[in-house]
Amino acid sequence: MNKLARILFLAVFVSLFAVGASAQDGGILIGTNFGGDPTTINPLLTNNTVDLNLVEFLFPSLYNIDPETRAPMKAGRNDQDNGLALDWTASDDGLVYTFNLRDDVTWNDGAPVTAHDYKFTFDALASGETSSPRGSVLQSVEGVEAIDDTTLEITLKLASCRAIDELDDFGILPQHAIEPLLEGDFATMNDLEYNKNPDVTSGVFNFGALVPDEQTSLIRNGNHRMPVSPEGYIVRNVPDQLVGIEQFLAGEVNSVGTAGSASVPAARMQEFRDRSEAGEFQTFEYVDDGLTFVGFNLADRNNPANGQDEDGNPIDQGVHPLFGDVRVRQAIAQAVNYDDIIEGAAEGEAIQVNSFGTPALWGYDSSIEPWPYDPDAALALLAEAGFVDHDDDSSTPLVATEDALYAEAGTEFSFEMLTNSGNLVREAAGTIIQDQLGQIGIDVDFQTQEFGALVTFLLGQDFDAIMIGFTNLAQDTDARNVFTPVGDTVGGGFNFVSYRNDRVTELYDEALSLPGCDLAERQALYHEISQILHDELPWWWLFAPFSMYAESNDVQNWHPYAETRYANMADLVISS
Amino acid sequence: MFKYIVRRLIQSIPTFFGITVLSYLLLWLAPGSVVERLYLAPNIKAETRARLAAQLGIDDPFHIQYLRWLAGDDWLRWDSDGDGLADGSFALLVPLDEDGDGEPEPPGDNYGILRGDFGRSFVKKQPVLDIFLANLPATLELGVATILTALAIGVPVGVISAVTRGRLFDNTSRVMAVIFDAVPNFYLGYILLYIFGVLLGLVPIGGRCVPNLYGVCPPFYSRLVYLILPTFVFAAGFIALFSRYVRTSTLEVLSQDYIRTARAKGLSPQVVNFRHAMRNAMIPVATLLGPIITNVWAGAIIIETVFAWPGVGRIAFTSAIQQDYPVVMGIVIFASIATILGFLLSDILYVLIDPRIRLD
Repeated sequence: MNKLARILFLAVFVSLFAVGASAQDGGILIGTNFGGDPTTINPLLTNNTVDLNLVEFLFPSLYNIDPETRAPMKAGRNDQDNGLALDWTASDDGLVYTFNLRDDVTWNDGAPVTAHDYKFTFDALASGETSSPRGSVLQSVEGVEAIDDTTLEITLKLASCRAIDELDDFGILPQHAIEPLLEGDFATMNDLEYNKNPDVTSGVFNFGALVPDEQTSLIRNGNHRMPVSPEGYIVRNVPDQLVGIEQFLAGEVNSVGTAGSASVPAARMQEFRDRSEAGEFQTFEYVDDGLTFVGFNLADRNNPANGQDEDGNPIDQGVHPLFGDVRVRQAIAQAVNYDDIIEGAAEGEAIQVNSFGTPALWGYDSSIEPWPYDPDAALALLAEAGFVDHDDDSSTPLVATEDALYAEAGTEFSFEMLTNSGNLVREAAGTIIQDQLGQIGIDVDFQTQEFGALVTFLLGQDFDAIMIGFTNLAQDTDARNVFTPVGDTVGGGFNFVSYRNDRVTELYDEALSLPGCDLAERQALYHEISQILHDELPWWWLFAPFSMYAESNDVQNWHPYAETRYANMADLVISS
Repeated sequence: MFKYIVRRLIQSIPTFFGITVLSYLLLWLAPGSVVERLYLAPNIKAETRARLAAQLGIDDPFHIQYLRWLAGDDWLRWDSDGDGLADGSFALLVPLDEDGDGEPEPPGDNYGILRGDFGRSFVKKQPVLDIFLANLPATLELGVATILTALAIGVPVGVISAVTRGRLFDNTSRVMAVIFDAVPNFYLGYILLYIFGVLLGLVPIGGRCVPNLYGVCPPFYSRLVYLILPTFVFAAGFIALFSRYVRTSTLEVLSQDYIRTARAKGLSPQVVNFRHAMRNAMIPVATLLGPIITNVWAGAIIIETVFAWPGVGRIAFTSAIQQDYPVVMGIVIFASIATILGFLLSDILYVLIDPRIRLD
């Protein structure tokens, strides 16, 4: 009995110690992550949001991002954020950018962060030896020179208004800490222990520990020029969103989701809204920077071909018998009630979009009227396009007449629409679309595919219509890779619908090469593109979801922005 | 018995290779790839994805990938002068200059699982063995606790049910056994988490340790509160299984002549039921242990996901979703070995419990 009592006493004592270890002065911010462990904490090698949510607190970047507009922002000395550029200038021909960098940013071992660190990181990328997915910047950049510790000169291959965005596509690595580990071979960077346990960093936090499938922690950098109040930031790895939400409601964590992910599901937003109004916790809502759409294959799916040859000459890709006719696409866009889709699939927590982008992006033109629900107009357009109800039976598909542009006479109006299985919103939206198109005589064979299989169909351009979504769209709505022949490559390109409109290509090029890169002028060009894309419907524009952050009341002075939960980490106070 | 064990182990070798070929083939046949899952975005060029695929070797034909995983690739392309570039290759399978750029490719540096190299994760870029071993303690902790709990509850319940046949305890335990067996454990997990975690606040809602900045997890006896719910939910089906098997077996044993003799000699019911009857009634339980070890492996995937328990099941689930072949194959190997050994253990226990049985 005495032995049992001793064991119980010991167990209680150790439990108390374990709990006590987490309750330190300054408080600890605890979030949940539903996306798995970080795969690497090397800012050059990563591309997933789990990693990036940690990287933003650990590594310097070329410049700061304005949390309100998400545009590049010049830093001030003693800024908390880790953007290096105090200012920058472009040469008259727009080919050479010169950055004047801060001299007050240091790595946590005391070494200064310099222009040489940026050059080292860029050289690693340019070597092509690393497993970095961030090669797109190499399309634009000719070379990088560190003139001195605080002056960086970047030469572009072509003047591009997106260059400034692309130059900040990766965080900056500490040359003095990593170069000796590489032994002259950038390929060894892929397997460095540093990638899992970055000991030399330069943020408001230092890296703490990664416990696989359990948690990742960051610990306050006490030597930072502007130390933050929270003692640390722990991200718990919770694979089940439902469990993560209950942890939040039970007070086990401070937030649903991590720094850059909202994660309150649409089905529970109203409940969270009500409870937030009742003072139980804090919420912040915004329109997400992603959209859901249906891509129409405009080319012959039986003979997938690239949009152009190496010299830029068009290649004959054939025409899709149904979607090759723009009137058919416009008819479909008017045959479905968008309110039903948004209510039925997205729980009412979304907004109909009119073209590429979402209201969260500056290139989006909110003045364009989205496609209305008008089944009569849809039927009239279909009749004009040569598809008629041949047997006065609305339950059978329309058939093509001799007037149809690309379909053989007698062909039934029937097509296959794919989406990825497991995405309940898209599965519900697809079912509603199938039902409502069926009511006007369009037979939709709606299928869900495992994601890997769906990607094979998508990039192989082997589909009729496909419902997917884009997330984390860049602020700059340049989408040359998506809507011009440059991206129309079978097996890998993102113009998987084979859309081609020379005016759109011209406008994209103009928006990128505009002298001076005036934002208002570029916006006008993107608005013209938006109108064309709205009218021609290479994609059927559906909706952009709402997003919601939820934060416990323990987190005081919380001022989030869209896509940025902790813009003011320095001001946060964790009360428990 | 030693000869029997050796023979069984030798017999399991072709089974083991069959499992590896089939598993690798299934993974290879799955559409898409890890590169498309991780790097599918308009800002990532197709050429970049192709380069990443080549770095991982997933653009090679099936037989090359399988051989590399099984036997390594240091013998496929080697560097004899130590300059870091390959100067010889097994040309029938891989050319020296595979990409045709005039430069030889780097030499192979994988040894293959036959030489103890399980490869590196495509996603985490860590040795598979390290990933597996990091999560193994959590799964062992949960698995052992589950089996012990199932035995500790299921066996006595089965014996008592048999002894009290037709009475309230027996009827109640049989109904409960059907319920525990029928309710999917992920569903039972959610229900119990909601009741005991959310409503009553008696247990934490998932996890294995108190979150802390230094990633320290104290010994299990100081965090039993985290173990209670996943163990019970995981064990529920096994409790039902054990109790039903033991009940049936005990009923059969209780009707034997030697039990009647023991009673006639005036032994107490406790001695008759638990010393004489239970030992013989345990034989079916021994045969269950092998399959149960396999089921613990498989069930861990669901239980660990629901309870955010950082075990091997979690790795299996996420790696399969991400098409991280080396990790999935590593787990297949470990699960295969555990299954083979589990069944062997069943056979050995059979002999230990019942001296009449001989293994040849």
